[in-house]
Amino acid sequence: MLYRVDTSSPEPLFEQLAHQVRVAILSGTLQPGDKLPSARELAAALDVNLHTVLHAYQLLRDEGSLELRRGRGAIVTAHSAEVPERVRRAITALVAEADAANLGPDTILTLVKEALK
Amino acid sequence: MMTHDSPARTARPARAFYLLALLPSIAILAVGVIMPLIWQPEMPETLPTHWGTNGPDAFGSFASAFIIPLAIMLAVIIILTIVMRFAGKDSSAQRIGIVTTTTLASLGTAITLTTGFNARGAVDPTKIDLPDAAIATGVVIGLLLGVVLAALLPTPKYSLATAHPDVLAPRTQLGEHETGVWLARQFSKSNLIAGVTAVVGLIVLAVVSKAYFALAIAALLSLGLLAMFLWDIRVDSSGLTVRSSIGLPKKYVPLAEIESAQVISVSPLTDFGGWGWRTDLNGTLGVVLRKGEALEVSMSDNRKFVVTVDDAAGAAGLLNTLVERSR
Repeated sequence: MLYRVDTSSPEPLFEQLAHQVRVAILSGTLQPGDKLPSARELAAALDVNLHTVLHAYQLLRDEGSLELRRGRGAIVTAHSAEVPERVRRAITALVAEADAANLGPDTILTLVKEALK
Repeated sequence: MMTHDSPARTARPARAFYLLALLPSIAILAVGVIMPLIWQPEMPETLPTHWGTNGPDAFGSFASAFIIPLAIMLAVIIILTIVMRFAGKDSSAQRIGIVTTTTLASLGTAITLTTGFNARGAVDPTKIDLPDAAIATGVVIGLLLGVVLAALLPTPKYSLATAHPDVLAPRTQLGEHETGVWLARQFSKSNLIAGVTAVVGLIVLAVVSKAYFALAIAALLSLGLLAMFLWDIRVDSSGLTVRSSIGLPKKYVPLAEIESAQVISVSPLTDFGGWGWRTDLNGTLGVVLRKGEALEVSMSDNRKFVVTVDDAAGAAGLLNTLVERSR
């Protein structure tokens, strides 16, 4: 699995990593029971601070996506993550419309967040 | 900057390989012949040449018991060395060759030394035992010696790659300020099957033949095989690293030596002659854990490395992008 961090992005590094893991879980790239690389290994490979990776893992644990166990590492939890095709299509359509209307990601995310309230 | 094609550069590792693979082994075999020759006056005329579950079951002269087996062992070792030198372009394959020849020589000598010693002063050849505990110990010592010798084989210095990855090779989009790594954990069904089969088979054999000590050692080695059933594969800015979850064996390919990466499909039996850490007829080193999708890396000096892994396209894409960045 690919992990990437963009140091020039305004998004904090730990959030970038957490986002990638969430997407991997949603897309099925990561299955329940899969073990993520150790925080130390990932931090060393990406050349980021260990605490950055730990922060990402802890965030995912708090969301219920990961289980962090002493000695065993970070395991993907077995919670259902099936995204119906209709929803995926709606999201793709939304992105296309936003693009056509020249609206940036921040605007769209604000509107979606508002709509989810 | 052209790398000068120096025959000296390849000759030195070749000489080192022959020295390490043959010299100690021949010396060990020599001891295995000389000692029984010294003891021969104290031995009976007829000697055991083969043992079954109930002791010796075939007999012959001194030569057929002590000289011929070691001569055969010597021939095997020499053939193995020659094959290894040409088929094993990768130094890890040559190291395995060194361990193999040393262990085989130790096996032959352990057998002739221990049975020769037992034959001294013996009157009845049917009472000359095959001391499996002593032989197993001898083999283990030989194996350890082989490992030490293998570690002495110098790693060749490879050229830096200058080429760019092929235009159609997979690439991962990475932003200017983005770093990427690709990590995978691959399960080796073949290691699991081989390890379990070996352990179970050896337990059955131990019970049937009562050679517990020797088989206990073999079982321990099989557990080692079993332990290598998880592999960690990593692509990052340093290059490609493939290692078993217990640390060894390990193959590190520096980014500077990589020309290009692509996805191929591997058929273990036809392409590599089996599973595991293997080389094919072209000298390509392969970590073949299963049939199917694999990452193939082309390196400087006409080398290739293959590892069977899921999402090989992700690994190849990142490798090519990182290689391009570094050139």
